[in-house]
Amino acid sequence: MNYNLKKNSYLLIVSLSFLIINLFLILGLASFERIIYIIFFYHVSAAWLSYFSFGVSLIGHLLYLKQKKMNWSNLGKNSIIVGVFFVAFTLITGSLWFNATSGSYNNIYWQWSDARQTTTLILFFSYVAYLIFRNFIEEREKKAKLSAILGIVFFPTVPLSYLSAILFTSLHPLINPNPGEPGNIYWDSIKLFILFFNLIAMTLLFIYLIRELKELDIAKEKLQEILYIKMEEGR
Amino acid sequence: MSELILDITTISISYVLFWLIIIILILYPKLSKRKIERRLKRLNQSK
Repeated sequence: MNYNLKKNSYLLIVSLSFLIINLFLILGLASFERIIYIIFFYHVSAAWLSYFSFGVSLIGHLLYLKQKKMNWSNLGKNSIIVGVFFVAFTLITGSLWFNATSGSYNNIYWQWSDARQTTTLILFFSYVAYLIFRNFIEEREKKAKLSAILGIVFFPTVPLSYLSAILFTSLHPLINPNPGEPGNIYWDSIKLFILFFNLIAMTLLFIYLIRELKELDIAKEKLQEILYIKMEEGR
Repeated sequence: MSELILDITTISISYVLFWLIIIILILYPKLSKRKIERRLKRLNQSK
């Protein structure tokens, strides 16, 4: 256990160092027509991490239904906890970006007709509902089974959110390595490298957080066991 | 206010929020685990 904890601390140090180095890379190497474009590095990274988290949660839930092991159910739940935080950040930074670029700070943060914004909000509320629902069920097996079903049912909101900017009407720009395409943001290889570097840092952070949350679940289960034994002794 | 200042303010808010989320996610399992460990210690002592 100590070995694992030590290994996990290294993972945290590496991921946080990468994130700090990344800021210097952005400020030192990338050039922008407006400084607000920096928001994209964090907005895209957070969106990537949230989609990745929900993808991992889907795998966790499917494996739980197949193998009935509580570890998989906990992996599904923990991935959703991380994903919900980062999807909230994505929504906030998306709104701030929208306000900055749609007529330069006219206090317009939200457009319901924008497919990407609306579908991402649906995605956020779906997974918040999952966490609330899971918290309400007392019985362990029932909790794992029903939340696995719910986690799988809600997953289509992830591809829907991702594809919404391509399939439906959306003001959301897409990052494009080829210049000159209207409605898209052209990023050269340096910016794409910095973005990729940030994605690696975020993925390492995700692994760290999942391991820590797993340790927390183990501690919770141990406490439950001892409380159960105490209750039995008291009878 | 000029556009540049508003851009810097927006970026700063986003950056602080980004780190705030990371700090919350790092501290939540650590603090909860510590709380559980303290409770387990108390339960073991009362045996």
